[in-house]
Amino acid sequence: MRVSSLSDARVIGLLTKYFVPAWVSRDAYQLEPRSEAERAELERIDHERSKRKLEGGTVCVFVLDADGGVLATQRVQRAYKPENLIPFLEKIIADKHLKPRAAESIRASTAVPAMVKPKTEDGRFVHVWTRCDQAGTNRGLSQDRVELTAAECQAFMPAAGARPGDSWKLPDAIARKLFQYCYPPLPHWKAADCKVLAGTLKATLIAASAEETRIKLEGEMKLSFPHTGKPTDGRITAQFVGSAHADARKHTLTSLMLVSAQAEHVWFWQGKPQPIKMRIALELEP
Amino acid sequence: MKLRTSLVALSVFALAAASAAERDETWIKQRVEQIKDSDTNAWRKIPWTASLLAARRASEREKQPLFLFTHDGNIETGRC
Repeated sequence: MRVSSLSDARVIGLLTKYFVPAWVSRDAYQLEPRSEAERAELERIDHERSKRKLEGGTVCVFVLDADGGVLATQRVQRAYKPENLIPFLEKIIADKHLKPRAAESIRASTAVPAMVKPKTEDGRFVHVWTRCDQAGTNRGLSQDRVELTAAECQAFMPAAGARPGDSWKLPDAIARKLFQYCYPPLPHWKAADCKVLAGTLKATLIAASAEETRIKLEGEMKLSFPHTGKPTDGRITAQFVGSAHADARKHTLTSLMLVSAQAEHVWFWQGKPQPIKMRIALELEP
Repeated sequence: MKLRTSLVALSVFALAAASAAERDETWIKQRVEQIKDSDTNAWRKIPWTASLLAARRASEREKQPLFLFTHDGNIETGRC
């Protein structure tokens, strides 16, 4: 849905113009717990949908009238195709003689992105993006956020007296923390289902001046996802190159990037491995 | 003569090493941007409300229907 119909310009146009759009994660995964009032409202909608024998499911599109009554539904199996969702929406617009929403009303009801702060003092966020671009496997872009503590950020810095060319290995815990989310966007989404089988990161001092320190990064990882202990578990292998810059006076990281030089996701179909090329990028939030 | 050749070779090597480092960094930056720049993020342009209850209030106030998409996982991380 996210990658197909909800990213279709015609669907976006209809939803923006005529509907008040909302999404709800049924398991509130990685999100704030749902309020009791919202839980009750979702239950009421599900109950009414079921009572009226409209199609439904966990992943589903509902259209509610202004008084909250369920007007129509479409399951993901059909709604993910714009050619199904567009006529579904157009029929409601025609049947209800809908007028476009006022621009001011749209602005007023649109959610403002929440500012998320690190949980640890002087902690920093690293964003992790992954994607598979092969035909038939493009489920878009995943974007996760990992927090590094101030001490973990310091591990990227060279030791006092280090010279250009000197290398050091970063603690495995840091590599594993960063690599935990390097699996592609798939129907399975829980990071807890991923196991980092191996992960290493090496830093090399490239240049150091009174103002700036430049560091080269190299790494590799092997993940199992979802990890169930079976030989047919998905496998992700990747090699990384990257760079980091630090303010030499403040001794703080000013940038950090890691990108896959090569990465592959292997899943199994009827016991046979199905390799897919993927790409991974990590970047420190400014 | 030998010293001059060595110095030239050394400076060529230093230049090559420096430009390789620069090229690497440029390549890394470009590749990060290419990965982030997805054509499948257009769904974020939809003026989503903050919650189902906020959408219900807006819908009632404006007398416009509510479009609700329910799913598992987390749409914001692209994992749903």
